[in-house]
Amino acid sequence: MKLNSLYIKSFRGATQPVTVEFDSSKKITMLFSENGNGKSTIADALICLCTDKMGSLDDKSSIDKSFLKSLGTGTGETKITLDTDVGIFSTSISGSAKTFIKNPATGQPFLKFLRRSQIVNLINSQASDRYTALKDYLDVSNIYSGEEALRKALREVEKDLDNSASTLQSAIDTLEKCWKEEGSPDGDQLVWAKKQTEVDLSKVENEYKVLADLVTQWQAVGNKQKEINQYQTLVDTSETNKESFATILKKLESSNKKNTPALLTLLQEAKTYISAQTTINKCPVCENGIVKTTVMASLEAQIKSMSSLQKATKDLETAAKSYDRNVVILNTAIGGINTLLIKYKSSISKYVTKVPEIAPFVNGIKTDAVANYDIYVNCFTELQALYSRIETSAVKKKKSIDQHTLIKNQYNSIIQNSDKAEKLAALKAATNGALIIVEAARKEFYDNELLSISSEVEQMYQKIHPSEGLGGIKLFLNPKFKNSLELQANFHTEQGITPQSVYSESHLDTLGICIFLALAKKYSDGNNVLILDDVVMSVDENHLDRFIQLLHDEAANFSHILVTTHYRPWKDRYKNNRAPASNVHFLELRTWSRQNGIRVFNGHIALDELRQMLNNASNFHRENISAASGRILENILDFLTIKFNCRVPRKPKNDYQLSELLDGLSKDLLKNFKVEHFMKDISGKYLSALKQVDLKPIIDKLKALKAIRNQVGAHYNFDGSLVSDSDIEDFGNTTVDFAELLICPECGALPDRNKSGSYWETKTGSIKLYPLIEP
Amino acid sequence: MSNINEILAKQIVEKLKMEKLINSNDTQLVSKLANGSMRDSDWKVALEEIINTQKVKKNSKK
Repeated sequence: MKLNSLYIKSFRGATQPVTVEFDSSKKITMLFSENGNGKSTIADALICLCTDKMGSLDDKSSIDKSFLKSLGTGTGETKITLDTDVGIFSTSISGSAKTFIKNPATGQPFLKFLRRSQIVNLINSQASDRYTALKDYLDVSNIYSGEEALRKALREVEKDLDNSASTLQSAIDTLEKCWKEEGSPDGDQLVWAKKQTEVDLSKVENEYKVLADLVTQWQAVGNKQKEINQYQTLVDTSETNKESFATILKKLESSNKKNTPALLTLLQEAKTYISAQTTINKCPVCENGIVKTTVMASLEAQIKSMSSLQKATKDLETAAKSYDRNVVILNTAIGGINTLLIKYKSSISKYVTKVPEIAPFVNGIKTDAVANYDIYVNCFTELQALYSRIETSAVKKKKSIDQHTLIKNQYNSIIQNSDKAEKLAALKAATNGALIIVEAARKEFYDNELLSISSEVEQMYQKIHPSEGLGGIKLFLNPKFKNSLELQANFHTEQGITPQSVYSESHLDTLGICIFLALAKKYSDGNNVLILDDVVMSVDENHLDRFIQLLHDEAANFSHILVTTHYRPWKDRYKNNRAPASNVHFLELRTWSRQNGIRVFNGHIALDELRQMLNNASNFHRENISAASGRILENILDFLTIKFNCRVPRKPKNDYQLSELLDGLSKDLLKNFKVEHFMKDISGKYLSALKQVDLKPIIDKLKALKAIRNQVGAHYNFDGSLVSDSDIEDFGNTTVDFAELLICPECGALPDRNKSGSYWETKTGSIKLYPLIEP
Repeated sequence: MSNINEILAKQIVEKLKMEKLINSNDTQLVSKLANGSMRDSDWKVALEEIINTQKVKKNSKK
């Protein structure tokens, strides 16, 4: 997978939209800037897009996800888009949960990253924390989760087996007790129990059913009898009340014969009649004149005077009604018991021969409820005696049935649980065996992975620190503790020591980087992206060169490596062609501001510096202008001579000087050597031709001035003093002119692309360089 | 990219098959083990399956 560009909008430091253009022909992109200019924003954007991590924010103890978006922007505005040769991947932050919504949802480029904090954690941590630091690389948590599930399965099987064994033992004990109570027949309890389960108890069960039904019927009669007794009491009580109120009324009537209940009734009806009339002047009986109010007052006075009689009359009526109601209820209950008695008589009639005492009941019960009830009352003693015999027989049969059921259940339980216990025992053995295999395989796998990584780390470390008496790197799990990752190394004569005790900080840094690089390489199929986010702090020149070489060696194992650094010596190795820059795309971030956001530039700083020197009339620095011009020319001519396969003197190192490089441009090449400059049209593309310049004249001029590079720019000598300021200024300006003819004003890149097949051009298309090859 | 869990899952399942603890035609086991979705019930089903198969064979020989 090749990275084309990364677009970042409203994410962390990207307060303005920024696009990082990758050179897909370069395996390594170096992003240099001083701290606080947006390196981590760019690295984090890739991490947030391609992984479920949040990059450098994960290092913080507490994370306010609100700051994933840029200051002053809305959450919905955040957008990260990565353009690759296999597709476009983008993400945005969801409004509420502040999680990254990926598009597409899966299949993002596989990316591993390393930050300095991880190195510090790895090296300085306790063994258990070291395991956590490498968890992202050596994560077998899914397998461990399956192992835990297997462990849980084993616990459950053991529990089921225990329960089954307990149930089995309980059944055996119960059956043994029954067997012994029966006198231990058949010599073996299971043989006996099996026979018992085969006995046909249907006859006994039927007999019991009949007896149980008789018991139920007789108990129903008894319950109904209790009801009748209650209702009889109520009838008796209400009858007594009725008689009592009748006596009271009689006494009142006899004490004043005029005030009879009939008179009271007459007066009450007359009052009701008269009060209902709107107007009445005559008595309806005697037709004498009357006054309504006078008559009503008279009637009320008379009725009131008869209140005792009135109350007594009412009480008697109520008592009579209560009595009648209770009699009806009693008769209904007697009707109810009659139905039960008729059914019971039918059920027990078959016993009349064996129990002749019940003959009067069996023969006497017909249809009349009162008569039947009397017969029942008369025969109660004989019927109760019969019930006792029936109940005793029923209990005996029930006990026999229960015993049989118990034996059968216990026997079946023994058979079933024996089978179940056998299966569970087999399952337990299998589960235990599987657990031993899974656990051992996991540990062995982990140990082997660490062993192979240890070997890789050792090789890498030796590349950086050859012949220094260091190495013997060994990573291994401490078998005494869970998830405890030990780190050991050699130090001259000492073997297997903890490197933290004796290694310098920079040696520990490179060790940490080697461990992570080895891990990332181990699990990369060559198509993974690796980010090294500010991992180098202070490394001396020799080790830095070796580290850069290691990085270039390992680049083949990744599709792309993004290196961010604020370590200027690293950047300068590339800038001064001391590092193998041909595989590196060099980007630089300028000072960040909230207004401008992150600003990405290509590496044309040296040219800017030269322009400033030439424009500084008050401090014309002859030596600096000469030296800077020389370096720039050497850099550009290095590019050109490689592009055109120019012949230069063979040297062990590619440290060609200006003179050698200029002479490398052949006559045939110079005849056709030209550039075409274009300007943007309305569509924003470089399509409008601006100028065409032959390069031979300027090369010739530079050849004439080339001695200034050494005479003034490199050494102190008398000849240098003889060079005039105007010649130096001319040398500088010609260098700038030459550089401007070849360097794209927009992206700062040289015309290094061959899209047309006939010329070289800059990435933007602003400059075309002819010819494509040396004629 | 080879998933480390997948590699180990394949190794484990092969070993379990060699020890005749699971059936050789169980295709779900590797993926479940590799993606962390293996549950205790899945293990029981897988291990019981071969126990039951062996029991059926044993009974049929009788």
